[in-house]
Amino acid sequence: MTAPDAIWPISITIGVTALLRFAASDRLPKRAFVALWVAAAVKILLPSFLTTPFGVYSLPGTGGLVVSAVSAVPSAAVWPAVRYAGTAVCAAFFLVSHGRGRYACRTALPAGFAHIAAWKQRNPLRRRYTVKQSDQIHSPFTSGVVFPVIYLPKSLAASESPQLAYVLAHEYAHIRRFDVVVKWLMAAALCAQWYNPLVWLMYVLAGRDIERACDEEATPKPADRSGYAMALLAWEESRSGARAAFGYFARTAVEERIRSLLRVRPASRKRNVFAAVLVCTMVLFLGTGAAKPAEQTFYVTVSESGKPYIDGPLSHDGTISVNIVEENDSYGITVVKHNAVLWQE
Amino acid sequence: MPIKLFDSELKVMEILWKVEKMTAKDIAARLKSETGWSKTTSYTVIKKCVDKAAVTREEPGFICRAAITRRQAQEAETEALITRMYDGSPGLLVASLLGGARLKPDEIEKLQAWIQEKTLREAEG
Repeated sequence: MTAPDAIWPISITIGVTALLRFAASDRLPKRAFVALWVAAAVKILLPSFLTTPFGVYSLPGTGGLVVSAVSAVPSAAVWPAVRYAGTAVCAAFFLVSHGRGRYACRTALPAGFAHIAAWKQRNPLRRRYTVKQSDQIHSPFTSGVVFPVIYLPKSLAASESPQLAYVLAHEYAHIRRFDVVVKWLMAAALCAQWYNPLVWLMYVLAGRDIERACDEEATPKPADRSGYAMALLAWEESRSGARAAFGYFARTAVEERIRSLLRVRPASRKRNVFAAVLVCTMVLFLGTGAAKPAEQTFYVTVSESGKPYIDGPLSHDGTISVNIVEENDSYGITVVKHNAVLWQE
Repeated sequence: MPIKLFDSELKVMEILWKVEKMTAKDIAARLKSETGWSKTTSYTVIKKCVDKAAVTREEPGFICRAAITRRQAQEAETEALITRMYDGSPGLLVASLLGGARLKPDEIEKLQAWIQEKTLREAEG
């Protein structure tokens, strides 16, 4: 986990990506944005995954090592406790909402309808995947990475409507793109840096871009798009009653999906190459770490018994260690990097 | 009181309606081959049925018996359907079945004969 000072570089990254999304959404395939969000999330979770001499993380002020000694009551080191508590709350929230749907998932029945079997035959996948139906779920979703399962509400699975075909195509796109993994990555990044409002923005926008990327992949032929958009509209209308509380946000998200689906330019090699180059450039400049180690703040706190202890991340590359040596009635603290003493008390 | 059974619980009932009694272990084994559920999942569903008083549990051995008949379950579902979709009027449901051309000619004949028999019986008192 990064120290609080490292939120500015990632905020710049997210800000630039969001601006690009606002300005050029229709000109780029949505999976380009998903790639950028994934890079940002990886950056949050593994700050020193990639290091290059350039990039926003090498800006002056992000290098050096700071060791602060705070010898007071243990509660002086409030920030780390608050940060971990926030992470725990976020993680609990994700795990609970994931767990709530599990009974419906586990007791779902195989959707052994002829029309679904026929669709599966037309859409093979290297991994084995199944389609299940349940009378306890109300919207379709996908779960599982190694053996993915598409869950359908019972009424939808039984119908032979074009809406079912669109839903299956959309969920199939989710499976092909490993979106389950991407979503968990986003959730982990949010848990790690919940205190940065831009990370919340990233989570929301990434969620929308994942859906839009699947919409695009589900309708490779522009002729399919209007029918798909109509099906989306009908689906949202039928659900709008239940989602009255989230009405505004749900409606804007769906509006965005429909609009971008109808406005996006058809796929072309030139556009894909341009998007790939743009993503790589952005990841290089905004997604990589500094060659110098980022700032680290240690909190040296004295416990009630008088023994000091270190509160805070030691180092993310394992080169810094702290030795606390008890000598008679006092303690010696040595911070060592590569056998060179950096700080001693 | 009408019992609301989900599809998963109905699957358990279907198995129990065919036999007098069966151990939970055997039910789980059969469910595994029919639906792919894990043993834990099958046991969870069986326990839900027991909680809903649709299945009775005997120890030792977790022997299960159906506590309601198929007919009782059907009636409960039909009642729920009529209340929810047909404004509480069974006549509307029958009209929908007739109007939707879902009944075959011999089924309609049987229905007519059944209605005649019922009216006769009610007239007798």
